Amino acid sequence: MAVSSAPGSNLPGTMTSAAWAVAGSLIAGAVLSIIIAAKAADAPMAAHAWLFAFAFLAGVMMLGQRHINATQGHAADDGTGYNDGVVKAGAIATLFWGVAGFLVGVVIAFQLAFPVLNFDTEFLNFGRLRPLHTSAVIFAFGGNALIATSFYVVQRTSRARLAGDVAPWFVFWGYQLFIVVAATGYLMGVTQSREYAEPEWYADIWLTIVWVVYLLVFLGTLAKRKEPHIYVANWFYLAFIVTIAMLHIGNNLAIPETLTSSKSYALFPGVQDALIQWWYGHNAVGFFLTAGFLGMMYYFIPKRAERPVYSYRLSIVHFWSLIFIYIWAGPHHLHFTALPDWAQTLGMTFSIMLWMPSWGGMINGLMTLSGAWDKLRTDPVIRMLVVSVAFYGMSTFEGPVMSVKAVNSLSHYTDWTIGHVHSGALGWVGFVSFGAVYCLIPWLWKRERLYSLALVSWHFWIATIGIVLYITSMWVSGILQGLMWRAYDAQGFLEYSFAETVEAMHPFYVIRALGGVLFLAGALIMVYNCWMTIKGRVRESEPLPAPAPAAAPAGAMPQPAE
Amino acid sequence: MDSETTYSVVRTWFGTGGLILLVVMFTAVVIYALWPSNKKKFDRMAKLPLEDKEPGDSEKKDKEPGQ
Repeated sequence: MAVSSAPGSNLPGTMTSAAWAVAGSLIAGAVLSIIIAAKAADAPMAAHAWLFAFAFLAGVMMLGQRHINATQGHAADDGTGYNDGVVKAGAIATLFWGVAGFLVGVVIAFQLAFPVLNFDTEFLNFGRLRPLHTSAVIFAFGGNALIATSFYVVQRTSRARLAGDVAPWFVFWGYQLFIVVAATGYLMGVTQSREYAEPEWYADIWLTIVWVVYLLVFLGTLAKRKEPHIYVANWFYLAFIVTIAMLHIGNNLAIPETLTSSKSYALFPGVQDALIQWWYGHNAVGFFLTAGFLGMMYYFIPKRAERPVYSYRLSIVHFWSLIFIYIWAGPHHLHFTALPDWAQTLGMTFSIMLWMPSWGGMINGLMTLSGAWDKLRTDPVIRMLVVSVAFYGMSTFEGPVMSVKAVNSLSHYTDWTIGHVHSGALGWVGFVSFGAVYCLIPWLWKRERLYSLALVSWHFWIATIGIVLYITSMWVSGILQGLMWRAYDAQGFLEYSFAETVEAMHPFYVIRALGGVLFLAGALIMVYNCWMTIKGRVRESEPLPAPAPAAAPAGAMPQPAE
Repeated sequence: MDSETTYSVVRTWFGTGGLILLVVMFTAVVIYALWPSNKKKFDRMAKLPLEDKEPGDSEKKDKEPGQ
């Protein structure tokens, strides 16, 4: 096994000069946090400053513990093979935040159907829980899935150990800290009211630091690669990392009230601010929820299906055309607003153009199964991955349709949008992440197979029925809502009061919430299945094929299950 | 030059420039993807996820991928 860039005489896992620098920065950060906590202008800022101080000190202790373990010969990993510890942590975090985010989603779905569930307390009202749900599923669940899989994939396709010693763990724990700061902030009413970018200025600065380290770890690993060409999945992951850095900084340019206040004001006024917000917002969809997960698709589908990528040429054209086009589509969120008409039309045109790269990518993912279509029947994990790509195709067909001004005049501000988002989020992002995690868990923990494939099937069908309930109820509800809003009577007055349109939504809100319950139930089955796999159990009614060489020798490379 | 003229000049140049830039870049990507001598590399890349290699394994070992 080649030792790549081992730092000379140091034992792996002991304090290097870089680790000392991290520890020093963490202590400095803790001191700064305590000063801010003491001088905080408002209670949430004080709470968050204490949280940062606590987290920074915990980080120092983790570094110390790691050093002690290494000097006593209990290093978690010998520093030569692939760095899978951080990927394991990411897979578990993905499951944890997934369940948390889906649960909050179910709660707010029931709140919409039964407002009494707001419980008359500011901490649990819909306005605060809604960003908690969106951030938990997009950034906590999706983000952890992306970071974990990107660290796994970039190592395998570059044949190089992850760059950095402490850095990958800094990315993992730093990202969890950002999630906790954002989530607790929402509950305390801290928000800058920018959709999908609600965390306030100090959380944004922290995420910027974490994200830059993430980029450096990724680039450092690519720089060490033993492959002359950078595999296409890494192009997608890299585009995701770079573009999110750009979007995050651009959209969060703000001036804090004071350096001890949790409130800030956006740098740009009026419609410019709206345009920047939706330049960010739509590209969060394009580069976080699409490009990153396409990277996942381009590794896990070929790997699991044991088939090469259908067309590598198409994947190159897919990548560059997606990158060129997505960045312009944001203005379709601002149809019929103060945004200049030409900019709205530009957003609409580029959204329509997105059909081509989106469907090119979908075809490439689906056709990778050519010659292995039988696996759709025999392997529920492949079924999950393939259905995720089908949902990707469906929601990227629906999106451009909704961006057309004539359609948007009916669909905008209605539940149709919510349904569209969830066909992408639950169907595409959710299923491709589930599929990737179902692949990763046995590979990482060196198990021959998951605990139970039948439970994967149950998860698949329960979650699929949940998605179908969700999106169909939102189609009906959204179109009904849109038609009621634009109905005029013979005298030219509005036919319905707003409260009447809300009342009409009630049955659909109940159906949607039930769909969410099913999706959550599927995720809980998944957690159980993954937990049993990690424990090394195999479900008794589904024994392994058990031929002689089945038991892998200790330390063997993980083989894909099946 | 009044602001209306400035606007239309900037808009024309940026519109045209953007169009040319995107078409040229897209064409370059397509040429790169279809360039015959790249085919071997791309065929190998398409199979890359199927390999289980240790870190640092050189490319030489799999000149003849066993698919």
